[in-house]
Amino acid sequence: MFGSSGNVSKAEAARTAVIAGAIDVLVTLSAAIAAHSSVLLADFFKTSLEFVAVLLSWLAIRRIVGGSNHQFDYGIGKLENLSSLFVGSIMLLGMLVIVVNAIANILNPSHIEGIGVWISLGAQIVFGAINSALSWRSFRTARAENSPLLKSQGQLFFTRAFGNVFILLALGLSLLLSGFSWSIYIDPAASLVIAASILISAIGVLSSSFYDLLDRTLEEADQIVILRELAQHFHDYEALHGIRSRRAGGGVFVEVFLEFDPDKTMGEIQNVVETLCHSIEAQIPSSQVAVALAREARR
Amino acid sequence: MLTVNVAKSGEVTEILLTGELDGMTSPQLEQQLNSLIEAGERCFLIRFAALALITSAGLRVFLGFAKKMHKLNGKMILCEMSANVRGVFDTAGFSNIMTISATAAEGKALLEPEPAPPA
Repeated sequence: MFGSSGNVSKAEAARTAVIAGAIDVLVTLSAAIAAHSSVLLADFFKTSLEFVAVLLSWLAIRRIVGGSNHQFDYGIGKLENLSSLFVGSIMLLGMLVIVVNAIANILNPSHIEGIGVWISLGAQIVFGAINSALSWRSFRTARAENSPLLKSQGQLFFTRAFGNVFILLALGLSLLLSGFSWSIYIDPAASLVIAASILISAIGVLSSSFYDLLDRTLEEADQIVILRELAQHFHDYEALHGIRSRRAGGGVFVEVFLEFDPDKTMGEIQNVVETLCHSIEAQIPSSQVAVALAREARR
Repeated sequence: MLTVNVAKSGEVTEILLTGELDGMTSPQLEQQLNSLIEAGERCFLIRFAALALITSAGLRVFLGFAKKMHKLNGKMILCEMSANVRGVFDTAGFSNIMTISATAAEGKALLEPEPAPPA
């Protein structure tokens, strides 16, 4: 469901991500300026692009939570999927920047040096821990609220934590093995590996968001749940005139068109409708079920 | 693809389903069943022997049809289901509200009126 407390917790999670992202951008920027490393330059581009994506997500959620004009009474599933689509596109763009930069550095290699390398080593340790914690938190909230936006953020933070560890290793090895001539290629090669990991993550975010953005019918297992409940209440209604169901964003919407005995009171009908709706909603996560009273078959 | 063969045997309307009953083919079956009801038929034996697949859309047709039969005091027996099709009916809880017999002969026996006791 799309309760206001759920949106507030999403906004809080997104705001924390924005603050962490802003600090990360400043640190990676200073490290990239003070060092001659393709990994650090790529890290700055990647971090900046990710920060923009997280910032936009937070602004979108904040607008929804702050709004009181009932513009989003039907939930924010579509908006979340659009944001996820944008996050995925930003990740792809960041990946391309890293690849181009790495190729340039392979063609014109040089040893990494400067205070920026040491700033980055410290920053990778700190941000590696922060990103791991944020990733775990986002995945946990996404599971609880079935939110594609928080899931994509969780994937983003996981990718970043992985990047932190990898950059730490790449910089450490480049420094430790600087006596070998081939060590100049560790830096650009490592940035290509990071680019590959971002690509995989971006494909995952894009495919799930794009798929969820399209309204589609429910899976067979969920359809069977609806039919089983209707079979269980077989003697409580007069005729079944149709079932309409769709999955839109993170939500599931079910409409059941039933005809009732005209001799039944509204109270009796309401009891049946409530029981039916609650039992279906209990079995299909994030579902909203409505029973419409009907008399003739809907064509 | 679904083929619906209808044959009349006494009071019983025998329907043999062949093929697949899914979202594409279920409107066809629903329409045929409705036409038979409108024509006054009230006693149905539906044979599933040649039905390879049934989805929720197909089940929905039978749920709606069962309700109509109930309202019109009609009779509907489903028979000759494969293990897979029977499993789908059981999972959906339809076995509790519809009469399902193993063979067509068994189903017919359930539909035909009992002979009057000798005077």
